[in-house]
Amino acid sequence: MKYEVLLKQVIMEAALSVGVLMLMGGGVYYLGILADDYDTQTNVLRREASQLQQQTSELQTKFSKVRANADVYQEVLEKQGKGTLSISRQVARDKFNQYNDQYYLGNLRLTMSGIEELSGSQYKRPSGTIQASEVSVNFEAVSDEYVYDMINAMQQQLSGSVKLTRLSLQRQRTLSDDILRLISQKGAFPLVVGEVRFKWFGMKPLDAEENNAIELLK
Amino acid sequence: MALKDKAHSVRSGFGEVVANKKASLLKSSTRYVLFIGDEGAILVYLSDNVVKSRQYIPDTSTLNLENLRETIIKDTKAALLVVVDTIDQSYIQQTLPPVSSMSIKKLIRRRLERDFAANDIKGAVILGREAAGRKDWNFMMISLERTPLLNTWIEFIESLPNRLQGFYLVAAEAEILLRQLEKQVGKSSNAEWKFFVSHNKVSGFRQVILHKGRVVFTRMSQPLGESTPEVMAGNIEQEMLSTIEYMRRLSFDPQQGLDVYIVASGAIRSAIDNSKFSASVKQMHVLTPYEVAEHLDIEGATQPADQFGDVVLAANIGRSLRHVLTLHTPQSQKFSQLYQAMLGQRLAAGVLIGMVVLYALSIFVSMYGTFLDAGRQETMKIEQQKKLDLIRLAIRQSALDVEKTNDLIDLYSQLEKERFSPLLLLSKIQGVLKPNTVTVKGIELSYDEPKSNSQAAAQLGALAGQNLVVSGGDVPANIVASLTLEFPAINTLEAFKPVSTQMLADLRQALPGFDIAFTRLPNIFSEDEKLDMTFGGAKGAAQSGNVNQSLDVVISISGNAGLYKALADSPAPVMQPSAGEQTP
Repeated sequence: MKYEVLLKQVIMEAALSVGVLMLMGGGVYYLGILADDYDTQTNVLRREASQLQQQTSELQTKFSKVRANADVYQEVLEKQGKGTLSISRQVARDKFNQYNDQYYLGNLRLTMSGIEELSGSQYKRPSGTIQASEVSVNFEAVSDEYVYDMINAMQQQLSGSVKLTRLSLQRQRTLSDDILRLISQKGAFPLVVGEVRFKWFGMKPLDAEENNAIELLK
Repeated sequence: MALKDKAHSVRSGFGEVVANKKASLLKSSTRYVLFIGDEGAILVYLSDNVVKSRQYIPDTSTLNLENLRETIIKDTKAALLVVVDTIDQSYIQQTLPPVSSMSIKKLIRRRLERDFAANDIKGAVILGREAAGRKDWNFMMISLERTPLLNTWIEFIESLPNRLQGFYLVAAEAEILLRQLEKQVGKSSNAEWKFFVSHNKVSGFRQVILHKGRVVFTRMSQPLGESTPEVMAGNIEQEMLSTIEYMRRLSFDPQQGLDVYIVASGAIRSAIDNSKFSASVKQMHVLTPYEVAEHLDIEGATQPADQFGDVVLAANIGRSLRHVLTLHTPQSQKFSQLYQAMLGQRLAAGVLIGMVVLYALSIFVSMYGTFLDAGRQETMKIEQQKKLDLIRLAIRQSALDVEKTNDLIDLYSQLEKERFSPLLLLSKIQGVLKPNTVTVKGIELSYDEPKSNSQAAAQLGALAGQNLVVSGGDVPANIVASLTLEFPAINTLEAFKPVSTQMLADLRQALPGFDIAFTRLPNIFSEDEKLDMTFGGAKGAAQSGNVNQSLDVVISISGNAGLYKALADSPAPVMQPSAGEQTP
């Protein structure tokens, strides 16, 4: 076989190989692009399906919760209607004036900070917000028993909810016959000096969803 | 060959036979082997390792060469192997200093250039290194003199359109042939020396001596006298005895063992007198060409009556994948390099194409997986959409604003969670304090909000004046009560101790888990006694005597919100009038 013939064959084969490889490479590159596109589309589909699943699950949970807590919702609506979920300076003033007489308090001094909306997802929702105020009450009392009764009444009667953060009671004098007599005459005597501090929570007024409540109660 | 025989040969053929079968898959399926001797040449045509035809060419006359050309050009795709077995061959064993294996070839090439004529066809076989001493390299330099006869053949071969694979020598390739024969013929005697003799038509008697499997010496002789089997056998015997005698000068020791393989006609075999070699030879095998072909499983190479070994030797070299030495003329060397480059190019292209195909396949598989996944996702999406629609329908039917209602419920629950009253704790404490023994002089109670780790660390850091890292969970809400107590009915320390100890025990029982301790005791107590009262140890002795002042004791009670919650299991707090206070 002639060397030139073989050389020609080698060159032709090389050219053919390069051509075939280029064609195949191009095909594979195009295939890769197609596969990437397909992958992207599938990922979008996966994300959509996942979002839909999450949305369904969340809605289902909320709906179940609403149905399971119909009585709570009714209670909320009732309290909203009566205004016993919201807090205000006027309510505090009125209530402690009432307690002053009811529990034989003296020298009552009420301090209340501004009512602020609380931050945090547990306090802030699209349909409502929890507010709070720091309240401090200084007083004189005839007995610690009345103070306990007042705290009990605060928990029961004050709108919203009360988180008592400090209680300080100090007996000022030892009980004697003279003091007993004075108490009988005046009805009040600074036998005990105390301070109650509490954080007062309430809900910012919302539109009552009475229709919802009616449907739930059905 | 009968089926039974074929099966036997596959089983007993071991490496070489099996390798030759595999070889047919890798090499061109057809090739020519031109066996050139001083007395003519024989052309063997192999197809799939089967000898299809053979042609004897008595000389290099124009007519004969034209006839040969006509035969060869019938298959121009077949490669041509030239086996040269002429008398003008030189075999020189040499040693070289123990240079590295990388540079030994270069040294050998230099030595070949020096020792042989530039025109000679030459090469070398590396025989290995000395086992002891300096470990010099041993190698065999081989050259083919370009005699006019050989030049005629080479010119003829180079004019053919077929690819010339190379020039091969019977003496060198005998290494492979003997290894194959040894496996096929019978038990090896473990002899270090082997003696191979072949009676060839075109070259006469070729004798090859191998030591430890490598060729060390070869001789060629022409038959003398009449061509009767007896004369031929006598020639072989005489030549062999001469060779053995010469071998003794090459350090041959009969104790090391010598096996002899003779390829000759059946008539010559009958005439050979084995007893002449009994002193030196361990095993002697005299095989006819037909038997050799049978042993080596070369189909079609010989007939039972064949007398010469040329065809079987040519066929075995032609079908072998490996060769001991391939020689080239400058032209064939250049051609061979280009051919090897072409093979390399084909291999590279094949590998690359294979890789591309595999990559394409992997993409297809991946796409198929994605296709299946997309189907699943689509189905899931439809199912979820249906579920969502059903829930939305149910919500619409219930005329509820779920989002708003849910928010309200959550906020209300949170509002209730924030509620805290210490009355339960105070009630529990009051239940423990005995009205006749102790009165409450003062209460300080605080509720510390729960803190996240970072808040707690910041607070502690601020106290310690450095940055602190607190591990573990968040710090829960903590309730701390500090009660100042009086013991009006107790006048002596002896009386105080059991009462206070009992009170402490009662409080701990009533408020399980809470930390309860005296934080302030009257100064009338020694430090040991204070420690004793505070930590419940047993130190020191109580100071005796009357107490002329009231005993003001501060007791601290603290616990977290979890403990406080557990108290809810106890009866609901019912506030009783305080022991120390009297109602008006």
